[in-house]
Amino acid sequence: MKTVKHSDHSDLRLPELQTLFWQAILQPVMHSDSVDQTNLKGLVDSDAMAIYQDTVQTAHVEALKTSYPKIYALLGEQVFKGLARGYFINYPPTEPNLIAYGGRFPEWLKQAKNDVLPITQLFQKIDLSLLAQFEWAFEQGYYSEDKQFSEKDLQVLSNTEPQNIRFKIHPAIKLFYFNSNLVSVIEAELVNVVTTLKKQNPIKVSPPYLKPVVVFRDGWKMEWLKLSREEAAILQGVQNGSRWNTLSQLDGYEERVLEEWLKLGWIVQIEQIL
Amino acid sequence: MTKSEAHLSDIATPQLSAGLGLRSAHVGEIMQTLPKVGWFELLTDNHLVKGGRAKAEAYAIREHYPVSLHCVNMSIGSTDPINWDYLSGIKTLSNDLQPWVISDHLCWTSIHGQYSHELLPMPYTEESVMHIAERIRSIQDFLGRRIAIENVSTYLNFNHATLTEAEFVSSVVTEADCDFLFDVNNLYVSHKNTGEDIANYLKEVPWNRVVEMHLAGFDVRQKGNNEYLLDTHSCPVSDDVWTLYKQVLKHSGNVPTLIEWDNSIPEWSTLYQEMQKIIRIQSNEDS
Repeated sequence: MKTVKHSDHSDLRLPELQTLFWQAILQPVMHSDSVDQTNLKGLVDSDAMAIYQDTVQTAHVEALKTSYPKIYALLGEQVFKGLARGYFINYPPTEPNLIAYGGRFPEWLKQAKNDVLPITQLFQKIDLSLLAQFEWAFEQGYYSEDKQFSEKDLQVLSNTEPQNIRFKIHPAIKLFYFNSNLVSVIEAELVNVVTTLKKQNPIKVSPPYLKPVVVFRDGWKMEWLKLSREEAAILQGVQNGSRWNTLSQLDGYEERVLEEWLKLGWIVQIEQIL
Repeated sequence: MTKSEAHLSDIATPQLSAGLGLRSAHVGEIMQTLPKVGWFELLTDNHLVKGGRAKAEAYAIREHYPVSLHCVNMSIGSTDPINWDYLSGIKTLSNDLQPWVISDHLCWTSIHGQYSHELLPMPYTEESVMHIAERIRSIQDFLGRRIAIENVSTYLNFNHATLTEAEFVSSVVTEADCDFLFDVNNLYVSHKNTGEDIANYLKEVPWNRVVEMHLAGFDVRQKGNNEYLLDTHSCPVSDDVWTLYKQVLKHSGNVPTLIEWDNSIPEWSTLYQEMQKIIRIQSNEDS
């Protein structure tokens, strides 16, 4: 086998090289100094190293823009990019599939609440972290299991007492409680909302002004819907595994609610609990 | 054998020597018109999900076309343990879809359980050859079939390398007893960025193991005072790469070749026209 050249770094083994390379990728800014600090000095060209750093970090910034489009629109390119790069460095991806990247971004937003002025100002008007959780539920719901209700399940109803029945709902369903501002953000044209939010004074909210909103999958699409407080309590009960006889005691319970949820594909299984 | 199993096995290998990467935006038109395409390449990670449209599209396309599974996260060159959970998902998908090729890249994408989602470079050393070859053999044993490994675009040389890229690729393929997915655009990009010698490269390629080729577009970027090519898959194949492809075919003969266009995705007709160039070149209508 022909050899190309000999090198002073012939003792650098693969595991160490990959560790150093990855540490360089995770640096906030690529300078030739930082290459020196990671002991990659002389091993690779620092400009070329910077290309890898940039492509890796940019890919993850773009992934977060896709998962959190409303957050991106509210914060703008500069602030979002800074936040996203910080998130990448502090929470490097641990899943092979890029689709799974970004689940802790809402948490990261909350941590940045008091550190970055535009974020602080927005947080005074809407809970950005909660909005981010909504967006994440929306994004992940696309890839959730294709559960569908089976007609066979209805047979369970005819010969089982209500206290021995509970319902399982589609894995894509997530329930949120939003104030009016947040509902406006997810409902309206975002450009107008951004302008409106900038003008509005901070709003103090407390129950009962929080509105229940549910995220669900309709075929291939993700949708959301406002619920009444009573419907939300029933849905929460179903999610908590409450039995049918318990649910039927809740305010606002009607059979047609469950029937509607069956039609929407929210209920995917009727379980008999022995 | 069920009827659907028989149907899948009938169309397992490409009948046409040109293929395209499947993009969700085009699935509707493809399913309506069933155009003549040799096969569709699935970016495996897009379809390794629990459900939803992305998963359904893979199975729907497979009803009508052969498919290949193109992976990016086996992290073949990593010194982390192989991610067997991830590979199990690939195996399940492979058992369902019966792809004619499963491929991944001569690179590493993860270390210490953290994923870069980028094709990070291997130093071209004996150590790398033996390390990668062993991992490829393990993966092939697990999947029960050969995989094809692809050369990547590079932006740097490791100063302690002792082999050329061509020697490295050839050695890995021999040691691992695997197939080779020859990305002609990646060779061109590496040639421009790192000085990889094309003539020598073409002498070293293990042609009997080349099962597939890729063609794609690149961007020209600036870094300081230097220009470099970035493998973006976001535009048509360049004239220089088409020229190189014709040169490559003189060594390899006609090999199933795929257009990769993953970003700034064009209209279906544009993509289809790009694929037609492969057919014209392979039938000597475009010399």
